[in-house]
Amino acid sequence: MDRRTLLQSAAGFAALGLMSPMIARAQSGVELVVTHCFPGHDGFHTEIANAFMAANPDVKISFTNSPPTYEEGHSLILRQALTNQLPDVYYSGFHLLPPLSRQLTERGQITHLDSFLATEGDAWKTENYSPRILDLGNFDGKQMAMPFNTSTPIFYFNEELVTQAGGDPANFPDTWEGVFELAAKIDALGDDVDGFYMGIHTEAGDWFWQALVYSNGGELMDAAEKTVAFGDEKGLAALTLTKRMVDEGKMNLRENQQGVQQFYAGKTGILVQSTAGLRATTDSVGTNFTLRTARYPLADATNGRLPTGGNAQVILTTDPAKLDAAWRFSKWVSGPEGQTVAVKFSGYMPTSLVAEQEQYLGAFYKENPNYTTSVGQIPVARKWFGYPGKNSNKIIDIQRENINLAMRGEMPVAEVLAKMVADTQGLI
Amino acid sequence: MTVALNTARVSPGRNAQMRAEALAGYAFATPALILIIVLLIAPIVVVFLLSLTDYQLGALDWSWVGLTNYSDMLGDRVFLRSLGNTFIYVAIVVPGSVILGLVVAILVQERTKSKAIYQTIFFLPVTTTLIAMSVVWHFLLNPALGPVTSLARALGFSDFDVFGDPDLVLVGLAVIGIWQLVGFNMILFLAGLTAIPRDLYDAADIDGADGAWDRFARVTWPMLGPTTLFVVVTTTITAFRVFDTVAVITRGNPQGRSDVLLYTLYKVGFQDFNMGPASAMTIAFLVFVLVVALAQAFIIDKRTHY
Repeated sequence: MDRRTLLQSAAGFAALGLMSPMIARAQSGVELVVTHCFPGHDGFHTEIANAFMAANPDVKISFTNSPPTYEEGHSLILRQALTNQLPDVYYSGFHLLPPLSRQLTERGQITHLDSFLATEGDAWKTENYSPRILDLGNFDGKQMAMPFNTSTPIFYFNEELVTQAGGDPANFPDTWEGVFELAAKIDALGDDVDGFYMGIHTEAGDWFWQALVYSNGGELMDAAEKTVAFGDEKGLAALTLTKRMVDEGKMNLRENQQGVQQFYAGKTGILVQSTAGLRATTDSVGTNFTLRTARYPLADATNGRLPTGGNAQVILTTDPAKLDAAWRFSKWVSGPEGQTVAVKFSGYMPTSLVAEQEQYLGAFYKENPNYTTSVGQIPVARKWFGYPGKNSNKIIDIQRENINLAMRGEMPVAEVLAKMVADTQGLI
Repeated sequence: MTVALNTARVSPGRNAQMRAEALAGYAFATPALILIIVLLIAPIVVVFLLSLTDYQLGALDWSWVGLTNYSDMLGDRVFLRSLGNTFIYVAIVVPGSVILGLVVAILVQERTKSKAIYQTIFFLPVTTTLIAMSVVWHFLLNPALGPVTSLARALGFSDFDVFGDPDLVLVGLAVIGIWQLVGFNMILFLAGLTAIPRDLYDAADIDGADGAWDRFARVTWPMLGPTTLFVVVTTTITAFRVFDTVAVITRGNPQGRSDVLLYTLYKVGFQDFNMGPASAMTIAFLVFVLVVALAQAFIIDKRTHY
């Protein structure tokens, strides 16, 4: 073989190599590259995608590696935006959705969903989504994302410990007073038994603090997002509750993972956590004890709300050839088929109204009453708040330190609140 | 330059040859030089330039802000606190792991048949992934379920919560740091010990220094001077870079008492995406490591000659 034929055949092979993706694409139509956070979520994402591909043979879904946290996912997407290597579809944490969608809108690297929703029509919209759920993905008057996983904090409890302490598992207390009273009784059961645990003093993020303020009917900032608003009596009630967890609920200020492990081991009566962890908690508890869930008490029954955790799907591709497929995928994952799988595999609340029907999650909910607790909280779920400006994580860290001061009794609660308001305001 | 000056007065033929050789020398060195510039120097320059801006990851517009990031940093209590915590951590880990490493090395050195086994055992922590081991330590020191707590209870001590107690948390992290570094330092000290000539011990013996302590104080320790210097420098720099255990176990809690430099940097850069301040902290970190290394080299270097 002389040099020329060698070169020719090499070129031939190269051309063949270039063509093979085209052949694959011709068979499957459109390929959508999808990124979601948390490797632990791979399972239900893959299952949903497989079902979607079976129903839409012209679309191929391929996943990239999953970043371990929402924050790392966010920074990955921002870097990819700089180099034009964005996936077609991404799932953003709710708290990072405003900065993400605003920055990508500025760069022209995101597709807003308003026109798609308009095409589907109002009847379809009201049948499938509650306005509150759709609003979670709406910023600056634009539908930036379709909510996918939504969660609120709920109470997990150990049925045996509650019974031993004289409580009634069927009528779990719906006030903090009742919760603390029960927790103190459980705590008295033994030296190695704790009554209550809520990782507000140690867990990353400020979700729990938001839950305390909102459930007391308070606000974190005023409507214009200029002034910190939790310095009122509602904020004081919220911060006082953290102190009461220690004083009345006998809570030990353990590090979060250790607090949760202890609950798994059957040595803590009551645990406050996201409903998103229900499946994982159920698996970890195994047969150690009977796991039950209860609603998070709303100190203000009329105005009390809870922050919504989770993530929403954004369409980052602006390629007209892919948009139709991307929107079909969006409808699928946030619709009954996608939600049925996501809810069963995690404990998240469904974003689709249809998904609650008998043929989807209805039967599952009857068999697994623990999963229905969060569904009852959907009407009081509101947006997860993100502080304006560049210091949101620093604000959250400093707030947590202040909460520690209150819980450890190093400063009177009212003084801590004033300091916390001043610290927060100073960083905005 | 020097080549040109030295060859100025030799014959033209020889001159040309030497110039060619010099050129060839530069040509051979060029790839390595380019790599050094591209991989080491350029990133530092870029980080320094970023530290003079208010760039946020993904933002379209940014501007030069001069030294604002540096002055903000010096007034930022989170940064100052993490710097203080890092120094405390280093102050525990360096003496702890150097002294323990030396003790273990001397004990292992004196074994004959079991030497290899002990070496392997003590070296094991070095080969493990610190992130995975953090999870294990986390469980070991769990205040309710961990075996350490059970042991303390059985011995009649009261319960303690290492990672939940603001006064204990840095000590707890430092213990893990020491545990990981002892094996590595042991290997370095063993190498140093092997290099000490036997006849020095014989000579000391004849002079009457025949006790174990005498032998250590008069021969081993002085001869280990250069090794100790090296171990202290590397340990300090490793300890300065503490991150994994904090990120996995405490995330700066409780009350920011385990905030360390690299973790704070990570939070500013990769959670708040403020690249300007994060770059300023990176430069500060580089300066600290450099200063520590140079100071140790200059101060201790004078005392390691015998």
